[in-house]
Amino acid sequence: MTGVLHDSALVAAPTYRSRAYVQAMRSAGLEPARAYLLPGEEPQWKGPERFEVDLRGAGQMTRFRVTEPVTETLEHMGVECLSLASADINAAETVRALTDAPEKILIYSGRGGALLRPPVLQTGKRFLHVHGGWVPDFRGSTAFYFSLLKEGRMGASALWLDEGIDTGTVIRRRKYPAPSGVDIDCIADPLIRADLLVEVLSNLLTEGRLEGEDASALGTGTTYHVIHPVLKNIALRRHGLIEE
Amino acid sequence: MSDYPYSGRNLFAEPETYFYAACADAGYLDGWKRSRADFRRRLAGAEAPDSRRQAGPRDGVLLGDLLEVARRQDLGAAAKNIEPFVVKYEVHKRLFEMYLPSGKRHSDSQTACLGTYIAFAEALVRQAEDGSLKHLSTLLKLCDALATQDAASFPPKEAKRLKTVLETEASLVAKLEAES
Repeated sequence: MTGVLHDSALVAAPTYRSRAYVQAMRSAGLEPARAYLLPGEEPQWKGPERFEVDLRGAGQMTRFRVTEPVTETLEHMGVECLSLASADINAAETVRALTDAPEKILIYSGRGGALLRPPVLQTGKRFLHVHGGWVPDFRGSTAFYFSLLKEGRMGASALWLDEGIDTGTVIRRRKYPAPSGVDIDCIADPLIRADLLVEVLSNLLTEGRLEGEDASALGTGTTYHVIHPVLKNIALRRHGLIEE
Repeated sequence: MSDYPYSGRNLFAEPETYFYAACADAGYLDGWKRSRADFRRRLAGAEAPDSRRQAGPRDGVLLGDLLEVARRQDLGAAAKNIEPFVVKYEVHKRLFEMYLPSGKRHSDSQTACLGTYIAFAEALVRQAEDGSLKHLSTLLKLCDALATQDAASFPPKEAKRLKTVLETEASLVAKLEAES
């Protein structure tokens, strides 16, 4: 189903993930009511500008224009964009702006590693986040690399953000085959998260709400920290991303 | 041929975040192996006197004592008890000798001595040997920092323990490399 998500807005920093999110939403015919843009430097990509990736291993290709800024995609979609004053999601002025936002659901695509703190979590909005790992087994930072090493595949979990690290109510999870020969940080992980996001938003449009499962019912799991580059190198090597 | 990028500066004094670390070079692992082998050789020259541990506080606990308790626990209990220090090390890239029951560092505490860091590394090794990639990742970071210290500043007994830690670290990485 396609259409405008009238009660949902995007909160996005200029990252590859945000680019993947808006391009996936555009391809799926889904439109947020508005976009609130966190300021920051655009990432600079060196390499091919377009990718086609079979994310689910089912032969259906997902296209990604990795150098296309979020603002350009949103302009094509006709989505109203509002610039936030601070790059910090927890800054007082950000909290004020989001409190005043008419939308109840904020689709969050901020900078990696920034935890949302009580003031912004208490704005009365629900923050929809897609984590790059199957929770609770792969919570935390660079979880997709640990998932690749441990299980040979990646994952994504859509959840409502709370104060913890990937501990919020889980809306949907999906596992994905390991990508081969595709940059993981800038291409595969953002596209996988965007793929699940579109699935969740399509459901929101159809059902009008999103049900979730209490994270504590899923088990304890493991919270990871930034992967050491020796382990990352081994993961990259296994998936054809290091030229011998 | 790659030089290992974390073998220069003192990583306890100038910590490394490892965010988006560039590591896609084909020679990266060999560079790491060479760097570690070089440090293990230099540890043979360890000659410092045994370190004097800070006396335990009345209102807190020594990290060294906590790690000794964890060493004798089963893996699950040990993992639970060292977890706060795994988080602290990952966030702050340093530990202290003394902590309060609340988990905060004691105001009178010095930063952890080399012997305490080695005990922490041994606790991480135990978990990593059981298959925990999370603890192996933290161990690699801690060993990076330990390997940027002057090898002569380690007392011989501690140098021997650290050498064993580094040998286990090497075998765990080799095992992971060999898995397809």
